[in-house]
Amino acid sequence: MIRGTARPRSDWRGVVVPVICAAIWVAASASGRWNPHLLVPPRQLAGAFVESAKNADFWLAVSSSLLRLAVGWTIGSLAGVLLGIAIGASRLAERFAAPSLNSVRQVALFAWIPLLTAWFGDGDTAKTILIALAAFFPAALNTEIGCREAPASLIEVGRVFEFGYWARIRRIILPSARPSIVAGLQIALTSAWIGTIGAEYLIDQGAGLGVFLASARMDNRMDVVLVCIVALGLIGFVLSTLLRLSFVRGAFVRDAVLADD
Amino acid sequence: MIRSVPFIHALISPGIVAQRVPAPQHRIFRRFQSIAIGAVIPLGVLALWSLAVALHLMRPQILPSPIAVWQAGIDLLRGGDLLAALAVSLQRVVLGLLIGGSLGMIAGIAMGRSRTIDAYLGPTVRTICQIPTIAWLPVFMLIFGIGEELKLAIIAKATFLPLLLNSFAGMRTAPQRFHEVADVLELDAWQRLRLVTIPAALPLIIAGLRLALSNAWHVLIVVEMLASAAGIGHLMAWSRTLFQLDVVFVTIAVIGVTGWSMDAAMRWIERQLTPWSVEA
Repeated sequence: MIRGTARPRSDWRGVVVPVICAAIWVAASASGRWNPHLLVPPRQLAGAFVESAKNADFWLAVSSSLLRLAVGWTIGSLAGVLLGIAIGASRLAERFAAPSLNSVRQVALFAWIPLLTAWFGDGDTAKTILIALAAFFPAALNTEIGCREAPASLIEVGRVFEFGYWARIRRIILPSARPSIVAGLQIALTSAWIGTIGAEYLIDQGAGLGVFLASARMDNRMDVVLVCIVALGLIGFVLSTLLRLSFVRGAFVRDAVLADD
Repeated sequence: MIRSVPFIHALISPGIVAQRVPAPQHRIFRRFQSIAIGAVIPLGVLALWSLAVALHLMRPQILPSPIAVWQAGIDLLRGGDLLAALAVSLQRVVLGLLIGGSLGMIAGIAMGRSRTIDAYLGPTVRTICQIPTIAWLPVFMLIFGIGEELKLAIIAKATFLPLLLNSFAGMRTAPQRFHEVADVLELDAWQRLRLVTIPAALPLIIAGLRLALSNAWHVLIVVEMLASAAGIGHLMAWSRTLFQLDVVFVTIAVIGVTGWSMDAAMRWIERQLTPWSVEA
């Protein structure tokens, strides 16, 4: 039994199951015994992709969602990182804020929607707040953990140098919390994307991929629903990959600068 | 000795930090002090809320008074509506978890034990799981309608992945050396399972269960808000439609407390079943 060895990069065996499923799909739709509204024939699905790609409304929906995500994620993760630093760097701040933060976090994200729509209406404000909330908690928690786990030896060095609060945060805590903060921002992005789709789907007003998805379901268009799902899966994947790549490059640049010092 | 995956652990239980153990007489005082400090922000919010209500800053339909919310909570409890809704929701969570969780565990253990099964199934399963559960909702609604099957299917989907990933990791987590020791001691299959595999895998599987329960609760609220005639999510959405925000406040609190209680129960089980993995 071999354990703990890295899996090879590409393995033809991974393709077998999808190919079998695709074959069953093609055969089942060709037989005509299944409801084509639920079991969409391959040709119709391909048609739906082309149709959506040509549809200006689809691209408007995608771009509105992305814009909303960008705004909500920026606000939420910025607030989360700042609060995370405050809580992670100071025991007193933690004792003030952590119990409240943890209690609020227990409420399922989308359970805020009824309250938010009652207060802010069905427009962009409620959705953006929900997206920001989705990004806020992962960013805050990961930052807090990262800051808390700054090595005690470094903190002591800081004490020897008589660093003040800000110098301690900037020169010791932040550099050692960096990987954790980056991880938090990534989780926040995924979470905010789910928040975006969910908020649009539940509130069902204005433009957005979630609204597009909801209306496709209302029209009983399984093919368009599938196109939307593939699109939002792809967008989520691309966004988190981009974020990871940009941070990896940023890390290299930073190390180079440090080496120059 | 064996800890759960740090990432998952961090998501579920932030702020586990080794602290100096104070003397017993100080401990009670410290505990009281912590509660008092932690209560400052909630009390401040409550004070601002009462002030806003007293000064009529917002209409009472939009911002009911704390007393009205309390009264609504008492009424809902007395009338039995709250507990009935909660029972419906919890029953859905448990049933869905039984279906999705056991399937996920079987798949995870199979993929963890056998490299061949992993090579065939792994890429497909991992790709499908890239798509968030919420996104499957419309597909499931088209397939299953909006009945009870929909709720079970969506919770099963939400609980499948955490248990699959964690039991997979659990199967792979025991260090090679442990298996070598088992070889040297010529343990039979049953002893190996009892002494090596289960102690290594159990903490991870329980961590997976915790994550699965939390996922299930979150997604169930969404389904119930969208398409249900019962359950706590439905109670919330319906009260919002009637603009009874006092009831909405109560349901938000109940959703939070229920989520917290389920997690606390899982942590308790974790301590009882796997005392060797819980950090001091």
